[in-house]
Amino acid sequence: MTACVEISNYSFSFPGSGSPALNQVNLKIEEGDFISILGANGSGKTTLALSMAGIIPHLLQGNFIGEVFVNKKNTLKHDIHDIVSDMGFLLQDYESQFFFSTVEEEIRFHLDNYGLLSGNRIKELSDELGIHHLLKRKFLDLSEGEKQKALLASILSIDPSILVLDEPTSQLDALEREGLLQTLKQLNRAGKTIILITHDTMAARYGSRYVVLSGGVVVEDSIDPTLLKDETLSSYGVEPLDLSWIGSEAMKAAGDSKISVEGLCFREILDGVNLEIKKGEFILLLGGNGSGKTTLLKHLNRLLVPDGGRVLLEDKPLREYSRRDIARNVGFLFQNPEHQLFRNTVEKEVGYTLDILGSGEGSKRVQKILGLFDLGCFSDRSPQSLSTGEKQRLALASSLVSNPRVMVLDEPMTYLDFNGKKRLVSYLSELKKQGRTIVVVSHQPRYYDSLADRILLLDNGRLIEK
Amino acid sequence: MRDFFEYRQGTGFLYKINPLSKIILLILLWAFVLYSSLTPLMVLAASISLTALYSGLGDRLRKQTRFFILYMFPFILLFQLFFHQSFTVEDNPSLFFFNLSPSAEGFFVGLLVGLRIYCLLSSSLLFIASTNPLDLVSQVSGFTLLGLRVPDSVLFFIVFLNRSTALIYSDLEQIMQAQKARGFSLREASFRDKITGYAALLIPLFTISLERAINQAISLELKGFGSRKKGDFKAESKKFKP
Repeated sequence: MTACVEISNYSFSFPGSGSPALNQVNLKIEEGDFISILGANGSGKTTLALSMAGIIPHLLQGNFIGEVFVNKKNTLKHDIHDIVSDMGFLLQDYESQFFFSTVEEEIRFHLDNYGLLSGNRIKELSDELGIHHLLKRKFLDLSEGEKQKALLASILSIDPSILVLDEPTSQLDALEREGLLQTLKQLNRAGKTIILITHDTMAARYGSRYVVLSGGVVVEDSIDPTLLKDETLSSYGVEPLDLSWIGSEAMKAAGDSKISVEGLCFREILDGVNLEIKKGEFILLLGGNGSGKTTLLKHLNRLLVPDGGRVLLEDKPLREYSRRDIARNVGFLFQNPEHQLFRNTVEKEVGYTLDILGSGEGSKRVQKILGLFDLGCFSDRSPQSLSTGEKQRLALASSLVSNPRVMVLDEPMTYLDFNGKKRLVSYLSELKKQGRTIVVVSHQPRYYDSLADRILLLDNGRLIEK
Repeated sequence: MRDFFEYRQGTGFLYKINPLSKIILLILLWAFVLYSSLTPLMVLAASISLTALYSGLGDRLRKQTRFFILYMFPFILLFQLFFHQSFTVEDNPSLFFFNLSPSAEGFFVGLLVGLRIYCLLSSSLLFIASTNPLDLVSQVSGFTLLGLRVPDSVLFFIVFLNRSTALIYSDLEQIMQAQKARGFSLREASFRDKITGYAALLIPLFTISLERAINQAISLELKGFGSRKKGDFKAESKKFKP
C-alpha cells in the first residue's frame, strides 16, 4: 500500500491567533483507507482537511511549519488545482458549493473546469449513484440529503481517488445519513480513499481507522473500533458510542393547555395539523428533512401566517397578540446561531431583547442570565468571535432573558459538539424543572429521551404521536 | 425588496420568449419610449400593463409600481404643472416655491415624463420577473456577433452573482425572522427603532456574507475553476466503477 496523504511534523496557526490550530501533526493515510477524523468544535479537523487540499497555505495563509504531501505532491510547492485534480472535497457549508441551478449544470461545470467532456459521464454517474431523477431538478427544491448526493456526484465526476467530507451528516435525518454513509462505504470498496471529518461517532464507525484530534494535536489513532466506545473520548469533547443520555427526572407535565394548534394548513407542507401543548410539557418533534418541522415551529410564534387553521396561546388566537407579547411568551432558538446575533458585544446582545421589549431592570437581568449560561467572562467580547457552542448558548440566553414561558428550539444540536450537547441538555433539563414548556425539533431523539414527555412525528404534513 | 429582482417560474407568453430576443425587444422599446410623444406613450403604457396581466404578472407589477404610481407620478405631474415655467425662464425667481404658475404645457410635460419613467420601469420589471437569469446567460454564451462573444469569466460572474444574491436574500429572510422572534416588528416600531432595527440586521448579514464569500472562493478552487489553461482541449473523462 502506498500513502496518498502524508503529513509530517505539521503545525499551522492562523494570523493573529495565539495558539496553533494544528500542532505537530503526523499522519499517514494509505490508498483505499476509510479514515474518520473526530474531534470537538475548534479541534482543528477542518483546518487539517483544508491543508490536505492545499487551500492552506495557498488561499488561507498563516504560519505553516512541516510538510503535507498529497499523492506525493508537496502542498507548499504545488498549486491548489494540481492537488485537487485528484481529490473531491465536500465542505461543511455545502450550500456554498452550488453555483448553478440544476444538478446537471453543476456537474457539467465541474467537468468543464478540468477540460473533461461531459458526454456519457453524467449518465454514468447518475446510474451509479442513483440520482437520475435529480439531474434536472433545481438545487433549491432538493432535500438536504439529495443536495449532498448531488454534490457528491459533482465531485466524483472527475473521478478523484481521494474524497474528503467535512461534517457531511450534520444536517441529515437518520434515513438520509444512513444512505450517505452507505454510499461512502460503497465508494471505499471501489477503491476510493475516504477521509470523513465528523464529531458524530455514529457516523465515524463506518470508517476503518479512527483519528481523534484535540486542541490541534492527534491524541488517538487506531483501527480498533472499540476506541469509539471508550469513555476517555469524552475528555476530548467527542461523544463515546452507546452513551446513555440522562437529563433530569422527567416531571410529568400537568395543567392547562399553553398552546393549541387547530387544523393548521400551510401551502403543501402542513395539512391540518392539530396539537395541544400543555404547560410545562416537553415535546420532541421528529420528522425527515423537508417534512415541515421548522414550518410548524415558526407558526408557534407567528413567524409564519397559516393558510388555514389557527394557533392559540393561552386560549387567545396568536394573531391578536402584538409581536412583543409573543416574544415575551414564546422564545425561539434557530438552528444557525449566526443568524440571530445582532450586537457588537455579548452583553448588548442579551440586552437587545430587553431593549426591544421595553423591559425595565435590564442590566441586572442581563448579568444574571450571562452568569447562568457561563457567558459572564465574555460580556465585552464580540458575539462573532465566540465558538459555535458559545454562540448557541448566547442565542439561547438572549431568548430566555425575557423569561418566556414557552421555549421553541429548532435543531439546536446541529452545530454542537459533545460538550455543547451535554451543556444544552443540562440547560433544557433545568428549564423543564422550572416548569417551562419546551418544544424541540431534532434528528437525534436519543439526546432528549429522558426529557421528553411526548414524542411526535411529522409525516406528510400530519402529526403522529409516537 | 426580494420581489423586485427575483425570477419565479411562470407560464404566461412572456416566459416563452427567448431571453435574447427579449433583450433586443427591450432595447427597442426603450429607444421608442425615449423618443416618442404623448399619445404613443399612453398606448404603450396600457399595452405593457395588459401584457403583464396576460402573462400572469399583473399583481406583481401592480405591487412593484404602486409606490411610483401613488407618489412619484403625482409628484412629477404636480411639479411640472406648477414649476415647469420656472425652469424655462432665464433667471430663477427669488421666491421659487411661491411663484406658482400652473400651465397646460407643464401638465403635458409632467404626463410625458411620468409615462416615460413608468414605461421604462414597468418594462424592466417585467423583463426581470419573466427571465430566468441562467437561461439568459446560457443564451448569451452561445451568441456571437462578427466572431466576438462574451468571455466565460463574465458569464460565470453573472451566474455567481445570481446565486450569491439568492443566498443573501435567504440569509436576510432568516435574520429578519430571528429579529422578529426577539420581539422586533417593523410594523409596530417607531421611526427611530426602525432605523436601529435595520442597522442591527447588518451585523449578522455582513458576517455571514463574508464567511460565505470565503467558502465560495474555496469551493471554486476545489472545483478547479480557472485551472484550464488556454488551448486546453476537452478529453473524455476517466471511467468510474464503484
